[in-house]
Amino acid sequence: MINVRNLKKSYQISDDRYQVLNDINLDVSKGEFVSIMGPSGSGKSTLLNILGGLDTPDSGEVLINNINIDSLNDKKKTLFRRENIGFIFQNYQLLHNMTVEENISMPMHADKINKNIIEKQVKDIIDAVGLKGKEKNFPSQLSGGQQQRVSIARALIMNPVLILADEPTGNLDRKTGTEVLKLLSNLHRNNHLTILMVTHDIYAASYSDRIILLKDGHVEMDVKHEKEGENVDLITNILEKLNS
Amino acid sequence: MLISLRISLRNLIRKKYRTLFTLLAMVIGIASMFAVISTVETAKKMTEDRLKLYLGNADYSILSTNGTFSEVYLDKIFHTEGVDHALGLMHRRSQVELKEERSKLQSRLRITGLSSLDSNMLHFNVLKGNLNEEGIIIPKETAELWKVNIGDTVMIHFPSGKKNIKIIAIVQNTPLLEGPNDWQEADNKIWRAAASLSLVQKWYMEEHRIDEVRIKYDQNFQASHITNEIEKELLEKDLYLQKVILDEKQTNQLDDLYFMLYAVGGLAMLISAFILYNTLYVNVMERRNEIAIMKTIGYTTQQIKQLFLSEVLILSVLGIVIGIPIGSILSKFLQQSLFSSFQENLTFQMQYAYTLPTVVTLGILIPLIAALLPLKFASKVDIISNLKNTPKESKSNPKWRLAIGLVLLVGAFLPNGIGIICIFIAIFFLAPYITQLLLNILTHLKLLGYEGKVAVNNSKRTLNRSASMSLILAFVICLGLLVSSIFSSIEKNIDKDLSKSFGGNIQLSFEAPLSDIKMESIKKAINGYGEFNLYPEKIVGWERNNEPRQFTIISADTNWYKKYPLFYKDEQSNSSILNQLEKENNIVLGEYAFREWGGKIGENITVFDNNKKYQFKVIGKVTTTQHSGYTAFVSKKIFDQNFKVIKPTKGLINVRDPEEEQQFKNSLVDKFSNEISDIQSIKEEAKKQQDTLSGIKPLFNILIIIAILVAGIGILNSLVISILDRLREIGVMRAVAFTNYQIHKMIIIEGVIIGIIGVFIGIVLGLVTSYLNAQTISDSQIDFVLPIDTLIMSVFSGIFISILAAFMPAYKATKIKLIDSLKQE
Repeated sequence: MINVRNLKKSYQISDDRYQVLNDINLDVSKGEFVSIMGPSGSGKSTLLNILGGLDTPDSGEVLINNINIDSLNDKKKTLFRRENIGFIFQNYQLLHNMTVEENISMPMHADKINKNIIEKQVKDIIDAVGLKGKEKNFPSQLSGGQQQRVSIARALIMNPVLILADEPTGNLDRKTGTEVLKLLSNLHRNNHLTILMVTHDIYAASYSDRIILLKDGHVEMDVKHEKEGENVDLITNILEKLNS
Repeated sequence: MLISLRISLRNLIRKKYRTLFTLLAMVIGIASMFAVISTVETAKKMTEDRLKLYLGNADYSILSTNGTFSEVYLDKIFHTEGVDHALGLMHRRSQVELKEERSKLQSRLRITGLSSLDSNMLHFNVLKGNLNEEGIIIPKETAELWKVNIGDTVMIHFPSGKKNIKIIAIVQNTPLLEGPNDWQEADNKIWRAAASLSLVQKWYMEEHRIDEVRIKYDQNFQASHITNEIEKELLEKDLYLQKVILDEKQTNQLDDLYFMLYAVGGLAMLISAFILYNTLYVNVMERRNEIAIMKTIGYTTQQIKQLFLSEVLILSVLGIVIGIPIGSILSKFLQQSLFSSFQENLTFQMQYAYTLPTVVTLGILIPLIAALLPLKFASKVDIISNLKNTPKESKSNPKWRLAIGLVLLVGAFLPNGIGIICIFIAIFFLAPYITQLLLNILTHLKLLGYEGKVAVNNSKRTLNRSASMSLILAFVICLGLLVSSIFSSIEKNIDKDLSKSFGGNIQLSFEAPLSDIKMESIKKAINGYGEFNLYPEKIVGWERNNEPRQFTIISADTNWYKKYPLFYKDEQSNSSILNQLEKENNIVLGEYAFREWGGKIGENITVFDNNKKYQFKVIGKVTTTQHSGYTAFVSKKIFDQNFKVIKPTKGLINVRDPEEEQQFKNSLVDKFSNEISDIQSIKEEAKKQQDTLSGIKPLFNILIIIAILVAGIGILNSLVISILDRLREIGVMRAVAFTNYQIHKMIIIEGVIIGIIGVFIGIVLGLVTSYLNAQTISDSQIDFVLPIDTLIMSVFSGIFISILAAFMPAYKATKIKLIDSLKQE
């Protein structure tokens, strides 16, 4: 599903060049729920952005369903993103002048999908994320958790093969965060969605079935676990790695 | 102060595009203002100078009701106490024969004999030759058309026979010698030359006779004393002393034109001020957090204001420094366009003495006024909410704004131009509501697709900003339509006005009052071809707010006017006016004279002639082609009773067969080439007026194009600001759904929306103000005319400039790095 080969990315800040990603190699299979963790500046968000075609690598390649996203031109990249990838951001990235249903349906409208299909699909997804009755609300009228649900609904509306989530619970309290994680976990399980989630919260990562730890631009650790929220040994191990 | 200047400069450089476009708008605004003010100033100075030059800088003239008088008076006056200088003049007609054969009409020449060719009253700027030799002096333009140089001779017809006369000097053009500029113009305009008085007297066998003495008073003496002394010398009854009044309205009636120029130039400056306001407002909004921090660490409100004021001052100074040189180039174009419309070859010196300080003052003052509101916002920034980044609730426009707008709209029915002002202010208040309404309509029309829907939503969010930009475009379009409607109306009415007030189909002027013998011979020549009427007119003085003024009173033969009037009045039949004119001391004023006089019908106007006062009762205001309306009519009986001049100097002819008109005109010039100074058929006059109008039109087109350009920069500025406001949103759209093309389309539609709304409001406003203007202005030349071509042009240019203005912001929106835009708050 996702194949990353020899991926490198650096940034120039004033006179210094920072190597953010240094020769990253990884493969993610269809239907996996992967957490990418790491300390600040470890390159996890950069990796996610490159995977989503929002940023470009210096070298190496990223294949999603065998398509090298970096080789696409701007238009094809947008269309690829629209059809295959759903984004969930830490600060939700909703459009404040659009209602809940308008925010969710935006990618479908941009794709010029039939209005009746849009209406039906938006209704279904709103029900699925538990926002029934909030369709006409504006983001400012919703709680943080509700806004993140809108963001999740928007990410899912085009039936993507891959969800890229950048700190989806970063702005939420534990209770609301847990609700969002459960929602993601259910979607993953029921719809066989592939999810890549960047997080620095071990509790959030425990909902995934694979954790990749990045440090200083390379993969420090890549482990799989079975039960969500229970693998204490693994969590302790990661904590140690993070603190070392 | 230095620190705040440095910080301001850094802020301006940091937002380089915004600064660039704001500066560009200010430069255009200042340049237009400079161009317009200097054009009007130069035109005013030039017309005044020309009048002075033409009148030889004289204070008084001595004239005779018989046309000529003895030269002895020149000598007597010259030696009168208090007379600084006296100049004797004699104007005579002739025909000139050149190497190339020309028609009689094109060969007419007026020679002015001057008692001194180099006096301080009438100075010639000699380009070539020597004034002391024997021969004639001609202007450069005439020499070029005649293809002659100094020392060459031309054959001139005199009563004593043909003579070869030497060209002794070629001089710079001056009003006294203003001749045709091309051979075509020579059909209607006479060539002019000057020579010494004694030579002209000899050529015309009128030894020791003169037509006029122009007198310059010595400033060290009391004017009344000098006048008394001169009057003692005027022993003959036919002689009279006439005060020379520099009333430029006699030759220059450009007030309306100046007003329109100021309106367009002012609008350009207003738009740039609004753009500056917009930029500053966004700067303040963007830097709320920064302001809050500054307040926290102890900056006073005054210091924060100073910071933003420094930005305004830097932009103003740059705007002035760049705008003024561009303005001076633009003003040269405007001057040329304006003066070429006068159909005269004019040399002019640009006038900046008043323009420069005015533009510098306004260039600083207007931006400071524009900055007042943003500065107030800056000083009111709340520390807590901004440091916490509490989202601001968008406020809807207050109800009172709608109420004031609607009340003012009712004021459209008020008379005398107040209605037009009310509409303009009403539209200013109502613009956001109209914009909202039109945006709702656009949403329902669903013509622009999904991107259009998003664009409409974005416009709704920045409703006041979008409405203001549309309003600016609307004002430009409105002004364009108004000016075009006025011009179209004048153009349309030229033939109508002429046919109703030309007094026949040929008008004649004579060089000097006609003697009885001459009159008889002219009558004989005309008899058989049609009817004619010879009449005198008199230049008289009058006063307005103690300022001496001068216009011409025409002797109206009511019998002739019943058939071929020289004036008309829309609301009243001519016969009723003519009947009233026959009554004692009644007078009708031409529209322009009436406006300048400022009185009411039924009131008396006092006129002065030869130190006598005359009271006339103004019984009407009429439309006339004579002296462009700066004139008055009294009946022949009353004219003869009151004024010394009774010999005709003008003539009206109605040729029975229009096909014979040209032939008749030519034969008349043939026979009376020495007497006729000007002869014009109704067709020629119509063409002349059309040509003048065609000359002025491009001037306004240039200015309106500039105003549209500034409006375009305003739209561009507004869209750039709007995009900078929404960087994050655009990033999200691009990340999750929209292609670059779709983002492009959305932003261009936002521009088009501003354009469509601006065009719509502009057209409605333009048509309403044109209609109200036609109702308000009493000038019967101005009717409401729908200028279809300008209307179509407005639609296209308004939308085109909006699309053009949207291109750069659209491009910019798609070129911003996705990750960077997603990081924006």
